[in-house]
Amino acid sequence: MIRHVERLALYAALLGLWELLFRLELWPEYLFPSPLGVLESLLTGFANKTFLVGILVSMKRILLGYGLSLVFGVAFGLMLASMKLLDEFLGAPLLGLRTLPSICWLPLGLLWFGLNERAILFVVVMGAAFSISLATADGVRNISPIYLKAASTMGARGIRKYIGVILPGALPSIVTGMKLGWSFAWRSLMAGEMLFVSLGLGHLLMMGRELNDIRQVIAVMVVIVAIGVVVDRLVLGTLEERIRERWGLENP
Amino acid sequence: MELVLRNVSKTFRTANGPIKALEDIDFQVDTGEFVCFIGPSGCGKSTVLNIIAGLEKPDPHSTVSIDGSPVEGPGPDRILIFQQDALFPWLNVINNVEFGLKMKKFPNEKVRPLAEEFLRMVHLSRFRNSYIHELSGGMRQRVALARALVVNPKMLLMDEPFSSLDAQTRERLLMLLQTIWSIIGKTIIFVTHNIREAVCLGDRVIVLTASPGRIKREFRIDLPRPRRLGDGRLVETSNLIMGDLKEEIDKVVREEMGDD
Ligand SMILES: Nc1ncnc2c1ncn2[C@@H]1O[C@H](COP(=O)(O)OP(=O)(O)OP(=O)(O)O)[C@@H](O)[C@H]1O
Ligand SMILES: [Mg+2]
Repeated sequence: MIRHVERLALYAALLGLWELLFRLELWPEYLFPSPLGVLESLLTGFANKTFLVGILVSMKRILLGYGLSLVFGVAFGLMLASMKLLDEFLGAPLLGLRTLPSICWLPLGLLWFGLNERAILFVVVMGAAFSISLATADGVRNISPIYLKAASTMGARGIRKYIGVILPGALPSIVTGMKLGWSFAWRSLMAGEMLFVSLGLGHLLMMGRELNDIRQVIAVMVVIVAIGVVVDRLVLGTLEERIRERWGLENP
Repeated sequence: MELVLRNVSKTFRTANGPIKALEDIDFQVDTGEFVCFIGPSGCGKSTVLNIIAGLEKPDPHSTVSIDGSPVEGPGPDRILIFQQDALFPWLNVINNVEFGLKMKKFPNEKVRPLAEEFLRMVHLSRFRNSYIHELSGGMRQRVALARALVVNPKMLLMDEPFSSLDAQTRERLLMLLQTIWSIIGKTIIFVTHNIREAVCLGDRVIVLTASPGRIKREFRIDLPRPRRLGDGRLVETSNLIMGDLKEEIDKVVREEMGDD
């Protein structure tokens, strides 16, 4: 494993290489900006608040969409796992639908909801909910039978059994599904915002293109990556690690 | 009279055809009695417990009844304790002990004190806030015991609860279990493949035959309590039963070797 110092040195070297390539003037500046130029654009973006607004707007959309897909996904996953018939009918089509790139839901969303927020919300939910439901159903099916036996001899039934044993038993798998769902949700939101919705980071990206400002384009990309990684690694990754440790599972 | 099994058989339907796990099991257990089952691996010991617990349905014409009423499903009057890993890792120790009470909708304000009391009985009060992965195997089984006893069942069904523990820990838990049993006087049905453990605990030891499990012989154990595994008379009695069990174990070995 590489230590932090070495890792930082490597990143610094890469940035140095980038700056060097820029100085060689192989390409015109409007096609190949310098890292310092990108940094400057990043700082300006935050200073004049356009980036902050973009982040806030996108975060609001993603929280709503991801939250909805979490609720629907888990509920639907529990249904799949507890109704054999439903699973037999829908299991295979769902696996198929999950491979559909989520932005492909956009035309349907536009027709159903019109050119507005709800269409984009629809895309985000469709992107994330499938992974979450399939992971939930999988988690429920793989709960150690001994937990279920222990619970039912202690009189766990109905809703109490779901809250007390089935949901927590499936939680490690649900969190794994949430990570997958997050990456789908974030990608589909960005795609959707680039296509039509005003404000938001995806829109800023397109604005950069329209202004022919490549430094802004790259600066916004950096922000998008940063948010994606922070949520994936720091928030969901930490959650997953904690849960797996407590549940007595080794980390993958 | 408390638990009665009459002509209890169990056939599992599997992809490789039916497997007869139990055949015509007949016995009864009185209130407060401590009965141990021993038998070779795969003879159906766990199946007997699962049937009594109501987790598994016996074949038709089998009857299982408790105080005269037939067993129709699991219920908190019969708590099953497993070999290992049946505690909920998402709950800490005290919440594990409280689980059954909460399922029974026990009055909220009484849940915590009662759980604390049973945790004290297994000497784990200090670990009330620990999580399961932080406990040793012996401590886990003590929590499982407290979690089972706290719901005040009529009987405890124990399926090789100490078999994954080291010798010293097992010895201590055998003492603890005898002490607890002498205080609370519950009916206990205890399954093991260790004869000395069975003789140490049981008022009676029932030997099952190799599969399909039938009752081969029953021994009444009249040694004074509390009993220790190393006690001379306990060892003597164990050797006596060993003869019976050895025959059945040899059968299993021969069958498994003869298979292919
Ligand atoms: N759910 C099941 N489906 C099919 N066969 C089963 C099932 N449960 C048990 N059996 C079979 O029934 C027989 C008895 O199993 P059981 O688990 O009761 O044995 P056991 O005496 O508890 O064994 P061990 O000492 O190894 O725990 C075995 O042949 C086993 O393969
Ligand atoms: Mg068994």
